[in-house]
Amino acid sequence: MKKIPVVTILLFSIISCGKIFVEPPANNPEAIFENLWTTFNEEYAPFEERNVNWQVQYNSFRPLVNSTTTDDELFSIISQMLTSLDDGHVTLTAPGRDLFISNKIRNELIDDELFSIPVVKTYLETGYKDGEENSYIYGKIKYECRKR
Amino acid sequence: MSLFIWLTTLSSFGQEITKKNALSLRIGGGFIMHQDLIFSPFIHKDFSLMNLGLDYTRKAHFFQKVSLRYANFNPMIAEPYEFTVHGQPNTAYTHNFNLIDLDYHFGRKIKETKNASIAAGGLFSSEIQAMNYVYGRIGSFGYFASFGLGGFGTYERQISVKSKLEATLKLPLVAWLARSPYLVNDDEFIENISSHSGFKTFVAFLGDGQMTFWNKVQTLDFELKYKYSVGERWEFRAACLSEFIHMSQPGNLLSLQNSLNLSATFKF
Repeated sequence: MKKIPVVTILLFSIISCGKIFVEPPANNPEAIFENLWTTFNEEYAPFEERNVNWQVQYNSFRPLVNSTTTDDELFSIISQMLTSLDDGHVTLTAPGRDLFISNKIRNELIDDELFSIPVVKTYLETGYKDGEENSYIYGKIKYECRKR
Repeated sequence: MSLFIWLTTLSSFGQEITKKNALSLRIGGGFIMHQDLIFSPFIHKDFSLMNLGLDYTRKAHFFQKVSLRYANFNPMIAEPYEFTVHGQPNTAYTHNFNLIDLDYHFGRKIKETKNASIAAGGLFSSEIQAMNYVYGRIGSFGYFASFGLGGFGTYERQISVKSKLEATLKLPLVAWLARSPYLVNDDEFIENISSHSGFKTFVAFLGDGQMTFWNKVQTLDFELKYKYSVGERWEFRAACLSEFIHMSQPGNLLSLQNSLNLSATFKF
């Protein structure tokens, strides 16, 4: 008979484990918007450096989101809000859509032909690494270049 | 005559030795629920058959066990999907979690009856979780590594001539713990990865750890194992293992892993 309470406690422990997680955001337009805005509000560092008043962004874009907002509309609204950051490290990805990059230069490929990659490589010490199709290049700048 | 006695004694001693060691290879399926608020508010869930393990056990005057386990999970909130980058097609893939555990138990039987025994002792527990969180085109590397000391207790009961039931609780109490920094990367993180060497980066991550106690990080393993003996040298086992990790600093981490393993054990 002692086995029954032990088994019951074990089962209860396993089932109740699901409740000890922090509740993730709900899958609806308003909850997604709120979660995204709040995450940036609490954890994004350079608002001041980028001269962005995040609360103003909330006041501007939050009224555009309601329970009937479609995925397309939500993607557009969030993209517009993130545009204010103009940050190349901020991107928005969603199924079936083109990647949105907050930084205008990267999003619109303004600097695509700005630098000559072969010339850039002449400034680097041998042993630099580069990715496919020049997706990245890193290495040490030549000593003589650093002195200039 | 004396040669016969010597050979008999040696033979008996040899048989006694053979029964003290056991090597087990385990394989099975596992389910994970993992939420790390440093990276995502979501609870990542996945079932995987990539659960492997190797155990070496020695039951002599002292009880010793070395256990190595590996699991791989690929959770994703949605299914892998297609998107484009300036018109070029890309695929958003799943996250990739690699979990490695290496434990060493050292103890002895503290109580023994006709059908049951209890062993207890010290535990060295190391646990490494290397996680690649993938967000479409980009990803973030996350890690959790714990090297701890604690205790364990094992209760074993003979339930029939050939079968036994074993329950083991492992509880690390103090640990050297290294974990992804708040907001994914900080100055130390950038410095640690600057070598672009996997091994150097790993060592640097560990070096950034700190000593923690059970009040800061709670880890707990509980295993229920059924053993079925097939002859003197072989044993087949089925085990249900639950592994729990909770830590609230610098962001809430909760990881619950349940696995069901089958293993073949060779005694020697």
